[in-house]
Amino acid sequence: MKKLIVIFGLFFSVAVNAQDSEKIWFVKDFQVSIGFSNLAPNEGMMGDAHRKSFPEVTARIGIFHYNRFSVGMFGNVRNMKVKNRQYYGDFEKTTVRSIGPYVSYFQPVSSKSLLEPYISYDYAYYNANFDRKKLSFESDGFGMGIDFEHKVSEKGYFVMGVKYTINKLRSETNPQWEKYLNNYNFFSVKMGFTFASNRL
Amino acid sequence: MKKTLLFLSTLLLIGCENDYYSGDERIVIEGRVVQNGAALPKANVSIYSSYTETANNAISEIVPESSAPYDYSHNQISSIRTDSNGKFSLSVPRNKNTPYYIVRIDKGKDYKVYGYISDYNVRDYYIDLGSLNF
Repeated sequence: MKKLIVIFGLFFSVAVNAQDSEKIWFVKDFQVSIGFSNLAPNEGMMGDAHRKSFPEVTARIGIFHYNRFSVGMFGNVRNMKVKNRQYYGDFEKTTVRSIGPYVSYFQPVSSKSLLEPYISYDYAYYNANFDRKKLSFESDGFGMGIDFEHKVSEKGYFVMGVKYTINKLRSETNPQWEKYLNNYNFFSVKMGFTFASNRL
Repeated sequence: MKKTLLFLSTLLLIGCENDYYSGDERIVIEGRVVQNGAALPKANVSIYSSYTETANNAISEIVPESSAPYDYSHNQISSIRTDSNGKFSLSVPRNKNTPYYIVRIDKGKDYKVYGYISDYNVRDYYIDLGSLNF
C-alpha cells in the first residue's frame, strides 16, 4: 500500500509540474464490462474449490489523467459455484466483490485503436452461504491487465481485455499449508465499452 | 406443560441458529479411519461445530447417551470420504461463536462421533487425529 501511495505521489507531482502543457484532465473516462473470471487458477484451495465464473461485472472510472496516464478506481462483482468442498468447506457458492485503485497508460496502435496496459491493487471481500452457514473472508491482490480498445463513436470505444490477478487471502493457517490455502491467482477476460474524451 | 413448551421452543431456537464462519483462520484436520485394525475406505468424515465446552485435549469417542452429551450445530462445515488407505484431510474456517469441533464418521447406517477438536489440541492451525476406530 505504501508503494502505491509513493507511486501515486510521484505521478501527481510530475503532473502538477506539467500543468503548463495543458494535458491534465479529471474524470474523463468510464468503462463498464462483463466477462469470465477464475480462469486457469493456480493450484490452491480457491481455484480447486470453484468453477469458472460468469458473469463478472466490472466498472472503472479514470479520476486523474496526465497525458496518456490515468489513475482511477475500479470495482467488480462475481459469483462462483463451489465444485470441491474438501478444503474450502461445505458451501454452495461464493460472491466476490473487489475494489481498488489502478494506473493505466494508453498507446495508440492505429487511427482508431489503442492498447491500454494497467496495474491495480485489488482488495476482495468474499461471502459464501449454504443452509444456515455463512462464511466471510478477505484478500489482497495485485492485478496486471491490458485492454484493446477500438473507437466506435466520437467518445465510445469497444473494449476487449485480459487481466491476471495475484491474490493472497488474509488467513492464518499452518505454515506448511499456507501456500495451498492462501494463494489465489487467476485470469479474467472481459468485453465492454469505454467512454472517454481525451484519447483518439 | 409450560416447561415442555419452553424446552421445545429453546430447541427450536437452537436448531434455527446460523453458524457464522470467518476465513481469517483455517485449521487443517487429518486422520485415518480404521475398522478392526484395517483401513476403512469410503467412509464419510464430517466436521461439525460444537457448543460443548471442554478442556480435554484428548480425542476420544463421544457416546450421545453418556454423561457428557455433545451438543453440535447440525450444519456440517466440511466433509470428505476416506481414501483407499482410510485417510482423510480437510480444513475448516474459524467458527465465530465456538472454538470446538467434532468429527462424525458415517459408513452405511452406522456412525461414530469423536471429539473435541479445540485450542487445547490444535497446534499451529493443524491437528492429526491419528487412527479413529469405527
